[in-house]
Amino acid sequence: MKRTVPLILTFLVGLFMVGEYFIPHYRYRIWTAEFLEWGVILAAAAFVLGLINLIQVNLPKVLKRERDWGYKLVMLIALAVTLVAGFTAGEHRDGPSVYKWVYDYTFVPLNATMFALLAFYIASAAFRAFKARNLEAALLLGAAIIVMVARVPAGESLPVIGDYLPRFMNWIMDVPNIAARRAIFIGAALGAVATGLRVILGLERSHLGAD
Amino acid sequence: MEPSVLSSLDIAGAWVSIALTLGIFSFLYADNPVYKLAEHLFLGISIGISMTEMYYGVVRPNLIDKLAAGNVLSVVPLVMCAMLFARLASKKLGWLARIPIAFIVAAYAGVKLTGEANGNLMTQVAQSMPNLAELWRDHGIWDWSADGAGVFSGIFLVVGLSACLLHFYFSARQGPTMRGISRFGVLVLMLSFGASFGYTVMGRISLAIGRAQELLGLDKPAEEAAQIHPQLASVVCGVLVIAFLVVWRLRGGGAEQEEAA
Repeated sequence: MKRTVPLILTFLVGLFMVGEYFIPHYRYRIWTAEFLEWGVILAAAAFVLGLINLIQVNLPKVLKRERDWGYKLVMLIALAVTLVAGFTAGEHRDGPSVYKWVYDYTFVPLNATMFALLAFYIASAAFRAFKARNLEAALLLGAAIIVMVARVPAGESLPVIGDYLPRFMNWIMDVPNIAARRAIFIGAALGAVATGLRVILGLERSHLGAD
Repeated sequence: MEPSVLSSLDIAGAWVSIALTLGIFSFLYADNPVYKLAEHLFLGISIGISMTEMYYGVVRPNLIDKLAAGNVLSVVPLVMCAMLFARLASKKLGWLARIPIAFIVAAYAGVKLTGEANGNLMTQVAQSMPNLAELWRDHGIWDWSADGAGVFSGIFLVVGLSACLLHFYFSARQGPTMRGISRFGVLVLMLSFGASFGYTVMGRISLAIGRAQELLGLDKPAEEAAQIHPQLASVVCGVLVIAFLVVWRLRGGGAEQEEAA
């Protein structure tokens, strides 16, 4: 019962969704669209589950004053303030409100700075890792340098090669890059098809967890 | 046009923004309390924003509004949402959560099964077959003015793609021919990874430049910058962060990290 019902449901729902491809009738499409909408709602509910889990993990640590409890308290307060501000502003979140202030003056700069921080680490990692030991590494290094140099004005103003560098960068992005990416996409698509089939047929059951 | 007058909240916000930016950048020195504070603030705020947007963007229009309008079908996702939370109510009822999970996994597996095969697999393969006659007529072997388009690039795309695919094909015995093709595939992959890396680095650097522009007030109109004094804010916040780091270091902060390193 505990595993059979979900497995039967998986098979029936999966088969129904596959059927959309073979029965392109608008009434059938209405139902598959409805099912996908339910999926989106469930994903949102899973987010709430994650939020509850986050509070369950962090709140006891704050109450017991465990290591780094102060930071966890800051996180919980920030979370609570944002949620209250968001739900208070409601549909007028884009207008002048505490939520908009929090979004503009804390979330946006923090988000951008977090990713900007990676520029320093990615550069230092490259400095350590990029050594043209063999042909493969040399190509990796060469392609990276061409793309980086060609995307700045200084690259375009280089004598002799300046005119050709951005065009060669575009060629790298449009030809070898696309060839490799398509191979990866085709491999991933084959994997997705195989995994989808395994899920629908009940061969893949890891999403149902252990007994 | 009249110069815009910023409210004190906006000016305070711009100062907070600069302080948080410097707080995050302090990680370049070491993992320190200022960074951790900014990091946890970011975590809490981003989760709060995600939850709020999820509610107003997904749950309210797709579930609550429909239920309020008397759509009986919307009871089904509501019941499934309740099942998802069953584990919180009782461990005995925990298995009920499998039903919505099975539903969501099956729905997306079904969509992916046909969608991936049709959208990715067939489309990607079809788009990888260039019309060589057309390429020859329009660009010849290689056309610099069209970023290297031409017959050479068309053939390179097909051969490169095939070689990459063969590199990931493990079901055949790797003889000398396969190894040669596979090596060419690896070279194409390396070119792609290098290009992607360079592209990512440039993206991150442009973000870093954006942050530097904010610290210097170069991203704002002159009349707004005159009210905010971003350079003063950067100096004040920078001095405060540095002073804190010095005191933190003198009091033995960061010793654990050094020991671990």
